[in-house]
Amino acid sequence: MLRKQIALAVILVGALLVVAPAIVFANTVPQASSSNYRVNEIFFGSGGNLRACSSTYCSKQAAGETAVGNTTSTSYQSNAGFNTDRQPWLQFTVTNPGTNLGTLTSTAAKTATATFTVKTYLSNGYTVVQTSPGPTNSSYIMLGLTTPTISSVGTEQFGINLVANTAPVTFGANPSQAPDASFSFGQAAAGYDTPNYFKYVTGDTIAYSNKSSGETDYTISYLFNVSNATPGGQYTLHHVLVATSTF
Amino acid sequence: MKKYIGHIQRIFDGTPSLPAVVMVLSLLISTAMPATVWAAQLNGRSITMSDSGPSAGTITTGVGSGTNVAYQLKFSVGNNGAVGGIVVDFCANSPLYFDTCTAPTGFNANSATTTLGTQSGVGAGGNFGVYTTGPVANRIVLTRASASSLTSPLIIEMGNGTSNGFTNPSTVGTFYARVYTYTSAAQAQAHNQTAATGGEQDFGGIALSTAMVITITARVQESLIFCVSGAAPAANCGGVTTPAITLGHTAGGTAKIIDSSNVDTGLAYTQVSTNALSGVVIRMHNSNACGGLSVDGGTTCDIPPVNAGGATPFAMTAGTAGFGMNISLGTSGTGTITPDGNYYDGNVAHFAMDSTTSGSNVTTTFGDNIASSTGPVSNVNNTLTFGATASNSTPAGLYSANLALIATGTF
Repeated sequence: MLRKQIALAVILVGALLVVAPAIVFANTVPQASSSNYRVNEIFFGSGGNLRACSSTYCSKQAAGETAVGNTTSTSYQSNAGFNTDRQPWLQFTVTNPGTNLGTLTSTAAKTATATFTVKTYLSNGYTVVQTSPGPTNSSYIMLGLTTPTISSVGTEQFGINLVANTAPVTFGANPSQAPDASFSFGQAAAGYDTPNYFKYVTGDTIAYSNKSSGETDYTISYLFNVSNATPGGQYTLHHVLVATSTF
Repeated sequence: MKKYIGHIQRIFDGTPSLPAVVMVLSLLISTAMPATVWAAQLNGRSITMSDSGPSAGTITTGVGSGTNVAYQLKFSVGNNGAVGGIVVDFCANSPLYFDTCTAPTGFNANSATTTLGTQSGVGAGGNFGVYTTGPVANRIVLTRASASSLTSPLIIEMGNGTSNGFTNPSTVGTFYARVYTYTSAAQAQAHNQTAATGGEQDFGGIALSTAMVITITARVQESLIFCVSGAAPAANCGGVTTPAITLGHTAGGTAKIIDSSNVDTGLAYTQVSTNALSGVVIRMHNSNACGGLSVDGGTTCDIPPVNAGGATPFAMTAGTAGFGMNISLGTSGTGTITPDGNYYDGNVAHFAMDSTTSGSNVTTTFGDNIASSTGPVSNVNNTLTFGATASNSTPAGLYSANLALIATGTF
């Protein structure tokens, strides 16, 4: 009798949840969905725990995973694996080498590199936009290359790209996917993706991913050339990158 | 309550039962729960910042400083209900609305001063305004008097990115925004992070990030290349010759003379290349204190400056003793060197040798401005034409003047 009652209670509670979900679960984020709800996480496997804590530490545990990673179609995407999280996420790290290029001359190009990494989760991807002007000297802004252009010594030029170059010297690197290209999808944007061609336009998107992505490591290659008429003085570039993810 | 439970009991077997109790309790619990009913999730939601630099860093103004940052809010509507208010909470710890919200260190929405820019997708209710009083530093509340449905995508620029806007967190890294829509302005103003206040429409969480600013410095040396030549210089002052000009014409012999029959002319050239940010000035300083040509180093001045040393180009007349100069427009190279109006009026037969303008003429310490640029120039040539004529009473002799041309860059 008691077993029957327990079974009936379970059925009633389940029915209640289906009939009045907006009332009972209105203040929580659901883990599964009907026509009114969606799945953020679901678990199939031999073991795991999204939040296993001692008094000092917490961990996420998984065992027996058979498929992990991001899968997309035109309209949908899913993230498989035990250690998925329901929290939207954007990690954007810029490494600031604080480079001093010394003196620029009209007889040789100068180059520099810097790096940044992006990863985002539960998103429709990200863009990285450069919002700062080019190198400035008082009120003067060094001429940025508005179209992808090769280095020309003696001509005032400032530009960047996000790929490995062989001219004017060998420098830079292509975007690197971590752990590999099955998890990470970031790429250099058009105009900034051709070796030995450089461009700098404030407001341009320089890198992007069209879907949630693991870590992509980017290397920015900077090119400086000056002419005899390039105003003398100290030039400072504060290269500001803004990563925006759409969720 | 007993009566209610009892009624439920009878539905099953007429005796008190666990299912009946559970069902009744569930109904009671669900009825008693707060009415925080978020009808739908905002999709395609994002906040684009105009600057990712952390505030309170070494860059204190402009892009990179993390101050006066514009945040562009964008989302697609969820349930399409009437919206009179939008609330955005900024949290350091979580984008999920049931979590507590820890304000990001150093962050401030500056509601009292932040203005709204372009708005689209606002629907018939019109533009939103900032609720300037009341919100905590990590919240901005947008309200409007008339509620209406939004159209997707809604885009609102918060802050102008230059003189007002948000102050970014002072730490580098991820932080979050929680976006809520409310039916009315008053309900949005009453928003509480931890308790329902009524009128809730849709919700969505967003992750943002500040980041270090990449700084690269370089130096371009100040340069000034200036030459004066008797022949037109090639690039970088190539092919220059000594600018020793003998004015005159031959009259029955080989030596050149000036007399009352002609205005004789001779040419010299200047070339300037400089990266002076504010340009270059070319000045001329006459060694003769009188400003004209002299046989004794300026003690006497029997060929005086044309037009009595006036400061305007003047048509020199053969037979009226005088000495002057005009300068051409700059040619070749890049950049522009503009002749001074005292020495250029477009007529190559007009000359001047200003020795009268107080404090700045060819006889003063630093000479007289004859041409200048407003910015850097490279390999720009100017032609100087010197003209002289004598009168019938001009004493015979060897007349001369040393004219120093001085280029000064302002960097």
